[in-house]
Amino acid sequence: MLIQYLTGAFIIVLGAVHFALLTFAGGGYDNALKFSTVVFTYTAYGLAFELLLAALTFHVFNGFRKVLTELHQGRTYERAVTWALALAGGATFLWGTRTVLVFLGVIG
Amino acid sequence: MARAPKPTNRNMAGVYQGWIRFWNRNFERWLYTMHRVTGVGVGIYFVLHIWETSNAATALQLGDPAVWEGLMAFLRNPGAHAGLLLVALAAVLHSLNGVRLLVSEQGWLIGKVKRPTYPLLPSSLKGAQRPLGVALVLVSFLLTAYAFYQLFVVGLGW
Repeated sequence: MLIQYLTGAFIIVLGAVHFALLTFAGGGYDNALKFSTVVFTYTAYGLAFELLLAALTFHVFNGFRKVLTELHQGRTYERAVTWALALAGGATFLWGTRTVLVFLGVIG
Repeated sequence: MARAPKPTNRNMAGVYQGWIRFWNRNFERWLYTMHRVTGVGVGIYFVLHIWETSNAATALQLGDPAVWEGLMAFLRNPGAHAGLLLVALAAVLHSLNGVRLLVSEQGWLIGKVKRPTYPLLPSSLKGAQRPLGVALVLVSFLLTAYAFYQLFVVGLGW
C-alpha cells in the first residue's frame, strides 16, 4: 500500500530528527527531558511534531488494521476493524494535537 | 483453461503458524514476523507516548512543572529504561526493514527472473535484498547500543 510506504518514509526522516533532538541537540537524554528543554523543543518544533503525529497516527492505526485484517477476514469484521481503528486513531491524533497546541499557545 | 487463483497477501495461518512458527522458514520470513511484532509493539508504545507527553502540556497549563517532572522521575528506573531500549530496537528494526520492503516491492535488488533449476530457490531471494536484510539487523543492534548508552549511561549514570 503506497500511502503506508510514504508515511513510513516520512516518519523515518522526522523520527530520526526526533531521536537526534533527544540525544545530540538536547544535551543528552537526561537534559532533554527537563521541563524547560521540553517547553523549548515543543515551541521551536511544534509544527514538525504535528506533522510527525499525523503521519505516525495514520501509519500505526493503518498498520493495526492491516495486521487484524490479514489474520481474519469477513465483510462485517473488516468494516468493524476499520471503523474502530479510525475512531481510535482520530482520538489519538486529537489528544496529541492538544499537546502541540498548548505549547504553541493556541490553547490556554 | 482454469483461471489462476487470485493472489492474496492474507495470512490465513493465524498468529502461531503465520507469525511465530518461523524457525523452519527462511530469513525473510523471520523478518516478516519481526516486522509484525515490532510494528504492533511500537504502535502500542506510540499511544502510551502520546498520553505521557500530554502531561507536559498539562504541566504548562497548570503552571506546575512538577506534573511532568514527577512522571519523568517515576519513569527513571532500570525497568522503564529497559522497556525504552526494546522500543528503540523495535523502532529501528521496523524502520530499516520498511526501507527493504519498499525497495524490494519496487522490484529493485531482488535479482532477475530465471528458469528454475535445482534446488529451485526463488530468484527473488538471490538478489541484494538478502544481504541488505542482514545488514539492517546488524545496524539495528549498533544503533540500539547507542540507545543503551543514552538510556543507561547518560540517563541513569551507570
